[in-house]
Amino acid sequence: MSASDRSRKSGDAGKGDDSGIIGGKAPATDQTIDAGSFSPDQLMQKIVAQSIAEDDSSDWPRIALENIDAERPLLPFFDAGVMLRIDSPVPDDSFFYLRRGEVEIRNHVGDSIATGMSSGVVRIRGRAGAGSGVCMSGGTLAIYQSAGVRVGAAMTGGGIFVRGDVGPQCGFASTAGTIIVGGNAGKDLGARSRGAAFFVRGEVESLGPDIVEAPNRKQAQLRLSVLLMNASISGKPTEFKRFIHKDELAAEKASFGEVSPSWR
Amino acid sequence: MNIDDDIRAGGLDLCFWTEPPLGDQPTVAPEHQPAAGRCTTFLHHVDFSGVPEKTMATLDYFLRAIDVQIFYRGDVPPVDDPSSAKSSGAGPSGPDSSGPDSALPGERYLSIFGERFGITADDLQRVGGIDFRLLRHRRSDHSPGYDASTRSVDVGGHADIEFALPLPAEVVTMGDLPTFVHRWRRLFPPPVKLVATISVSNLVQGLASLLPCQFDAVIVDANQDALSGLPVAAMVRRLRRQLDAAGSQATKLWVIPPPMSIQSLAKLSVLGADGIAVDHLIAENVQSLLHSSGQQQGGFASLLDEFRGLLRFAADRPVGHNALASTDPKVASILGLPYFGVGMNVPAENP
Repeated sequence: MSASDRSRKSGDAGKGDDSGIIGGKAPATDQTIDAGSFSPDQLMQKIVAQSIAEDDSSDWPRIALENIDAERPLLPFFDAGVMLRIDSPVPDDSFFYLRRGEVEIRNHVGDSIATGMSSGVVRIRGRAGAGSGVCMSGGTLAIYQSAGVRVGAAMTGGGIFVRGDVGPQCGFASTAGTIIVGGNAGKDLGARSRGAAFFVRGEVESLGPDIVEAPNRKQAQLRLSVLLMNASISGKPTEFKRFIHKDELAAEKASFGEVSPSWR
Repeated sequence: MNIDDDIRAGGLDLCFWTEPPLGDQPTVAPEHQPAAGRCTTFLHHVDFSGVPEKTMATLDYFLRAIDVQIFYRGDVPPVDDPSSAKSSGAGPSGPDSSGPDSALPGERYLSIFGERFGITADDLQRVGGIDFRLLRHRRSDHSPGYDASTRSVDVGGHADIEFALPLPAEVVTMGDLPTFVHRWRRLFPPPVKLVATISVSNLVQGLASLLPCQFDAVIVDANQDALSGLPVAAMVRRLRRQLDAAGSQATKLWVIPPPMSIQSLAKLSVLGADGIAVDHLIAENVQSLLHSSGQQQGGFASLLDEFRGLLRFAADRPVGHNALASTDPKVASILGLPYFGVGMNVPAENP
């Protein structure tokens, strides 16, 4: 593949503005909170006070956060029915073990964003550092540019979408969940992983041991479509290659066809 | 005053039981069976609610016998008594935490392997200490989500229950560990304790990275690498010195030694260990405790008395002073101790 092809396939190409941030018009918010004028606990309480118990996020209040402390992880253990919007860069370890909420970050983020998240949605319009979505067990993490090493390492559920490239050892030691890469993947994709599925639209530098390319069947495409939808991305599932552990491919082949007929 | 008070007064933190047997346990004679309940062994939070009562009674009996540091029912509010839970204080999650676990004590230690399988926000929010297990071998029955009937760990997919990642999932090399620990320290400021349990082989490879981590304690698992007592003693001596030299004087050094005599265990204290695991000491005497006559049980009691005496003696000797010597020149050289023997040459030790 030529450099221009790689550039075309990479999700970053030509999508950003002058700052390199991808994204259209920022959605309107109901309230703006100056995060710098509150302690971490106070900030959490202030946001939780606006929270709505409803599961339907379309009813959730929209809150914009300003004046983020660049040295302190933002809102660890966040658990509130609100939609947050942050326009400034977000520091390392922010949204650590996120449990609920929708977060849109219209800038770059540091390392280990949304570590251990179990539910909710985090959308990042900029780049993400190393270890994004490590140990996550649920929810959706969407990164609209590139991400660093070990994206989704040890994840046990949920979905990660990276529109650009990912660094080495993406999905390292993961046991479930889905990782979608719109660009290229670095070395050792899925190393020590067993149970997770990887979809890559660009090139893979190398696969981890026992990770193989598998047919992108209708069922897998459906799974991919849902995650793309959750990440607010329009894309064709057929453009992606699918990679899984070789034992799972063997199991898939064994159960494929009329051995396990559909109840319909 | 019990043994722990004695020892702490002299500088040794505690004796601890790092892997209490929760699996196939022989039964205890009825007269020795205390009430079963929830308890938390040091550093290893274990929910004992699913443990058979006989096993629980066995565990309780041994722990009482050796005065191992443990929080009993009297210290930990029972699950069905929320009022006592409130009075005991709450963890970082605040006093109004709710849910089925709200009766758990605020102070809680969490052992986590590299993958952190099964660890939830609830676990981390009420934590009093985090023990990073930088080890390969996983104790599956300590893992959250472990199902004893199927001997598997439910983590939402396949997990290798025997071998774990030796480093946290986001740490690519040992060299990245100090940064990782620094960042977790920001997430979990004091009084939460950050502890590392590391095998000797990992320690040898990653010592330079471990020293600047400023852990509250380092637990060296010398039981994993089939070492004899002398290398372990030398390792304790050197590691204590290196921690001190790296500005980590406050870092406690606890040791899980291979099988060794009570005299050798006590010597580890003099050489710099702040805590000593007594797993082998207990294991070697399990059968006599369970199935023996009163005379044999008395033998174990006298062994414990001697051990306590040795520990008190050791605790009175500050680390770095010439409290120990050897009549074997090789041993003296390895451990940096004075040599008392033929052609006696007592080296001046650098404290």
